[in-house]
Amino acid sequence: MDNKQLILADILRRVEKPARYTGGEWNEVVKDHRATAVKMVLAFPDIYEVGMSHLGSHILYQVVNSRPDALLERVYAPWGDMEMELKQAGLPLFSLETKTPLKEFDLVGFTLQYEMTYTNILNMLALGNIPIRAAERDEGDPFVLAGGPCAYNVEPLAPFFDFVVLGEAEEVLGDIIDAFKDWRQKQGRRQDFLQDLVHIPGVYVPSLYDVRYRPDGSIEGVYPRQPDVPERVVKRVVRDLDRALFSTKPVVPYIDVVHNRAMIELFRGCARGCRFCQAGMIYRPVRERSRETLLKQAQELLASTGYDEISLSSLSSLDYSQIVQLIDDLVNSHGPAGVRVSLPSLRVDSFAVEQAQKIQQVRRSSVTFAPEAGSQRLRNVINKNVTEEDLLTAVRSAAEAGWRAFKLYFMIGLPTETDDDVLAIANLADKVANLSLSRGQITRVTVSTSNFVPKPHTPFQWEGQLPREELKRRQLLLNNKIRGRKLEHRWHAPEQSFLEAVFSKGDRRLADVLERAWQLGCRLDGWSEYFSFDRWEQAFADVGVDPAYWANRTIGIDEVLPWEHLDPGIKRDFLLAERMRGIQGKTTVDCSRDKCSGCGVCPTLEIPIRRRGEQE
Amino acid sequence: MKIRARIAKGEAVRFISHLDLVGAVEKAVRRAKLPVALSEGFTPRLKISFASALALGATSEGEYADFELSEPLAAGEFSQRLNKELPPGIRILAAQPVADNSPALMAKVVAASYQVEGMVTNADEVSLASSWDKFLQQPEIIITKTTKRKTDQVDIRPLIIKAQFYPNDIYHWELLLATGQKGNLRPEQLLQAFFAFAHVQGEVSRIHRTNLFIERWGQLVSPLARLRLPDEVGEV
Repeated sequence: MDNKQLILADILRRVEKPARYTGGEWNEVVKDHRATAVKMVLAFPDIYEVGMSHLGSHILYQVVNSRPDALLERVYAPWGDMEMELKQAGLPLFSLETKTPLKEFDLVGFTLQYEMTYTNILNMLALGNIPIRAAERDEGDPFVLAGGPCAYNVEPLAPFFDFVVLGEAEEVLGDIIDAFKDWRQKQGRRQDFLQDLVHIPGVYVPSLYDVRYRPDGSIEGVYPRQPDVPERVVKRVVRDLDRALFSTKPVVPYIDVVHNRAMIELFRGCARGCRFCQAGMIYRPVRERSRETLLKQAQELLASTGYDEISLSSLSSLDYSQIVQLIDDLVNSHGPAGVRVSLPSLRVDSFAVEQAQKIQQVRRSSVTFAPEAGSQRLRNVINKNVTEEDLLTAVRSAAEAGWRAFKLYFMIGLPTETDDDVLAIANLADKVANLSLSRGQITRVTVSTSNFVPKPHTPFQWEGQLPREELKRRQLLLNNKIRGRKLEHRWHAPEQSFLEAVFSKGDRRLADVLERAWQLGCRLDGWSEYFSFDRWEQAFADVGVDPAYWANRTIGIDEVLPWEHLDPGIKRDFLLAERMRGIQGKTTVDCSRDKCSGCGVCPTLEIPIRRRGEQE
Repeated sequence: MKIRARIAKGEAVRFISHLDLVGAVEKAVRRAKLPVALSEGFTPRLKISFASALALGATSEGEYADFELSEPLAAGEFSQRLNKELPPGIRILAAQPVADNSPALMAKVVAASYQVEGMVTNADEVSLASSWDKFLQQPEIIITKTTKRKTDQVDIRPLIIKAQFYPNDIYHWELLLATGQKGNLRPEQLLQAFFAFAHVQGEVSRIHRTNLFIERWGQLVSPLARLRLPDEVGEV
């Protein structure tokens, strides 16, 4: 062992869950750095247990490592104890596979899954001895890139990244690696590579755009600095999932992680059209994998991992066109070997309950449904096409099947919400708790309410979030109404939701706040052990900006949105029309089952419009 | 049919917990498609029972587990196939069939042997060696054991079966300690008590379990020791 390894072994004796940092798991890919042209590290800005549960990372790991000329290693955000130990020992943040410092990679790629991880990105760069701002990096530094859902409004983070990938990265990443090899062969300068990247569809280079503001603070426009830089960057998608490489040999963690099971991906996209849901908009169109492909991938996955559970992961898995047959096939072929099939979430209907029963999820302690809003009126506003009857029927069939505890998810502060809508949640929970069953009764109903966060590229992108005091008042209003020994209310404090709104709807002026917050010690903000709203308030004050401007202000429809040049393929007119229909309480059909709703994504991406289950 | 295996937990997996080790072996069994029996019920589990939990951070060449098979398989083939699917650091060192009705290993284990390394900052080796002798000469050694629910005063002297201190360049201990349901002493508990007794700043830097022992006719033997083979009787 060399000196570094000795220091590391010494550190690891002292930190909590040292296996977060040791690597060496089954299916880990370790390549020779000297014999591999392009060296990349996938940086997940949250702890190991969260990052290892992310399917997209597993896919990219296999995609890049299947190339002989490239390698992809992993690094996660260190917990506070490990950060302290690294600093004290003077060790830089390193990859799990080969313990290589971040700075020694060619490409450092972050995935942006949620806003509360943003300070972790700065922290990981700094711990990796990489200048946090792209403008401060020079020829010897890696290129720092980002992708994932929050990339669709990466603006608050724009100065920290050299470039950003919009959409599904498995193909784009290949193009980027090729371009990187070309650039290095030409012995180009750092800036030349960014110029090359502009020509790859789906790649956004923030430094090649100027943002200009009006005197009132709103955005005048986002302007390319050169003629060959596209005005809008349109996302990339995989056209045929059956031909796309999948994660069939994922790294198998030793320690327990959030999703500790094999995962197959039935389809991408969801066309149910819930108006608050960003995933439902940005991942369109719906593209299914064939059942044959899925069964083959399940077989390979179980053989390569040894997991005893396989999860059918997708945005709304039960919407898969051949779901019944698929579940039957999986249960029949793997059940006898003790493998369980599981669903990540349940749709609110009795069909969902039937399927859950079939895979014996019945034995789980409770079942969760997400009606999202308490009144029919408000459910129509958000286009959550679920009726009270649907919910009660679903609960009844689950209860008859043996479930006795239920969790119900709602949002507070949705557009047009009144106190009556809030109180309707308590009413609905009461009805669920007091359902009369043929025998026995429901023992527990947990109502969980989050605060609505308006998201870019959704029909509600213009909306402001309600002020924190008002969110709190409504949460308490509900809290006082949820009474009874069977009922329990859990709610999210509005502070985190407020920051989520700020950064999800923010622009480049917030980068200074992120940097300041990080300097003040903000990190791991998604963890209550670390989250400190006081520090964030301090950061906004130090930079001299009012966060309410981004979170609470309703943006005028004539304004330029900070994310308007980042294009997931959905037309602005569609979002605007959906917003109007929502406010009027009109619902919109699921285009994968019914007629096209004209969101524009298929024509923009030149993908033929197809209904669920139809083959090419 | 039941196969008992001796398992090594090496440097590469030093920092995983006992539960993680069990999980890694279970996954390897499934990858190797070994005919290990499944329990009944809604969440069937592989019938594998480990003898004794090893602390996170420790290595071992003396972990034991019983595997209940649903169809016969030669012990040699069993370990060969399993070794192919085990991650680096985890190894089957030996395996042999045991009687189907043999009692659970966990209930039978009475002792464990360890090699331990430690660092002491404020004492020389001569005084430390003499403190060690005095420490062991005590008729009783009381330590405070804290669990989640309570704190207990326990005399650990009867739990020390054999203990040697080698004050070389690196301080090194060879220990044989009571382990299991009738009395359990972990090496770090013993050394903490010693450091306190000797009034020194000490730290345990490395723990390696060399073997586990069951009792047979009054003697400590390895769980894989065959009957009437005195050469296999554990030497410590």
